[in-house]
Amino acid sequence: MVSFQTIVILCLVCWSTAFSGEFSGELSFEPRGYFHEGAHENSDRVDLSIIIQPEYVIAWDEDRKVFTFEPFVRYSSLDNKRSHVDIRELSFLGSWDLIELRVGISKVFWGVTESQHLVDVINQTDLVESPDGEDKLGQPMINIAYVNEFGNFEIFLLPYFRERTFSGIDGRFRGSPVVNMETASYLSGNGNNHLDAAFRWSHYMDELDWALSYFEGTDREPRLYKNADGTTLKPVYGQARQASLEIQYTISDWLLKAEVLSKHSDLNGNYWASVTGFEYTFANIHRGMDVGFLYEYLYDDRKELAGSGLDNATFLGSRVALNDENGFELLIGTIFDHQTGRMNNAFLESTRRINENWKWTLEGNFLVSPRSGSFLEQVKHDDYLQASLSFFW
Amino acid sequence: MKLFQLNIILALVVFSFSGTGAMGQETVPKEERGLWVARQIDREDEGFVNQVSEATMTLRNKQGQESIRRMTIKSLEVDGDGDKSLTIFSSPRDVKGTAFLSFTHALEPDDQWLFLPALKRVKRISSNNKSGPFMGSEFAYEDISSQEVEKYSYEYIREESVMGSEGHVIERVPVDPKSGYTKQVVWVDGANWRVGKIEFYDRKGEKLKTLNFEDYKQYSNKKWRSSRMEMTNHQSGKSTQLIWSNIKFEQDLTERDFDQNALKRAR
Repeated sequence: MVSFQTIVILCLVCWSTAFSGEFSGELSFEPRGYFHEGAHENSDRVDLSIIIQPEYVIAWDEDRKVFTFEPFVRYSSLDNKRSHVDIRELSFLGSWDLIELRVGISKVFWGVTESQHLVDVINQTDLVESPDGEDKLGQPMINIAYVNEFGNFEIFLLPYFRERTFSGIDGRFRGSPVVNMETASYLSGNGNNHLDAAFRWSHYMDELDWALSYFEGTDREPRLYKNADGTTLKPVYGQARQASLEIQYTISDWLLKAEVLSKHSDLNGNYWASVTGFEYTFANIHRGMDVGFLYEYLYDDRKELAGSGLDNATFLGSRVALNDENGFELLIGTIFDHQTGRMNNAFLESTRRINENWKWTLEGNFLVSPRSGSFLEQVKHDDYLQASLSFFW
Repeated sequence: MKLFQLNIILALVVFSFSGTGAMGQETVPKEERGLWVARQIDREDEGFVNQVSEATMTLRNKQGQESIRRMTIKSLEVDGDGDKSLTIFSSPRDVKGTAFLSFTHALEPDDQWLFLPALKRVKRISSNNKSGPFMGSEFAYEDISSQEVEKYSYEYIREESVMGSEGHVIERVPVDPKSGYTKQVVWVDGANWRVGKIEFYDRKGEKLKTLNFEDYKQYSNKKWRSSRMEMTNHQSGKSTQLIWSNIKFEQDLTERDFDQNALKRAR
């Protein structure tokens, strides 16, 4: 009789010989210093973080079938809520002739603009990672795409909802009082098991790329209400329906971009929002150096109720890429609030490779004069500078 | 007897075919001879169907410091249009998983998309920056993109021995004003239409770079490929060596392996 152990060993041997997996990843040391004590008794000014993000990939059939496992761990010395673990990716992605299928925990990006990812709705924001909202939590999904000469037609079924992460009592980028994630509640009777769904059509023709999307399900953006004890906030997730459009026109050195969102949510009613703008690059101006300029206008129909202070704002930015052997890049940007006529904040991000495996990144965010009543005003003492060192293998 | 006749016929056919090369060249008027050479190179490469290969670039600066770039390049021949290609980077490790999709066109601008693995974002990028350096190397984007005949105007310079056989030297001038070059001088062998050397002249008309093609190998589908390319920048003193390995032709690849979904799957 063949023992269970033998079967397991045989399976592992077959597995490892049939597929050649690849193990890679990133380890980062991320010291961050805040210029001031926080406004809400979060007075510590140093956050020493370590991030580990390994990735294991098995690809076969000319890369038409890919299995990916990518866990994520952050340890933060400042905020125990910022210390967290997530599975960014645990998925199978397969391609058969005109069909693509993705099953598992994964990440999907929608959008064309840089200052705000307005239409990007599939994954929840991992807000403790970065106040810019660009980091996302892994989302369980079934995603089927049908590809033909009229473009890419996709269906997403999202069976489990991920809650947004919020800073803890010692953390930065939070308002007052602190959000207690344990008290989260849902307007849907199914709670976080509501089956969310989305449909997307994307295509391109010559210099024009576009995508039309529709989403119906749990609103990724909670509303925060005071808990009965008055000392914490309670995130409440309603249901939402939204339609969105993304367009990019790529003509010579110009990228013309627009994202438009029309949304109905239980908690915010009907509204629409947009980001429109361009990116112009002076390419190869000296020894391969590119200098780009970015302009985007942000509008939100809810005006002040949007709470972001970005409902009538302009983003201006510049990107410098040396295109040298170290891949030096610098991005600086600022957001002007048209309502107050003042600068909300400014930020910079710069990276340079040290060698094959190491790279440093410098990042800063400076809050200048955010509008009163906006979220940015609550975090206006949270200016920081961060110099991180990353090892890639 | 029959066999003998067949042999004669075959011999005649072969003779007349091999004759067209030399005959063709003589009948081509002098002012069209440069274009004629370019067409021979292009025709010789026709029918490669698709190609998968691994490339290693070694960048060397003036002080002799080296850095490495590794990538897998897949390309697909497209009837009546430029080739499609998918480049997947594996080194340096911080750009691992970054992938670049390009649809080349003869005269229209190329369509290009970049996949950024950290954000899982596909970004349409401008193909206008053809004169910029590819991954910090001495190769410009326009040096590594598919060489369509229509991208240049040609002039025949002289006959010269190239790679040990009778060859040709032609001059080609990029049609696109966005090109980083005023002209390129190309050495071609007349027997197999392999490019042996290219000299690049910058916008000021000064000699900028020389690209040498070494270690040509002939593959089972009769196509010749250089295994080692050496690009030297005469003005900066930097150089880049490009080594090709694992070159495979006629793989099981379709247009679907060269679209935005494939870009997201690329490893």
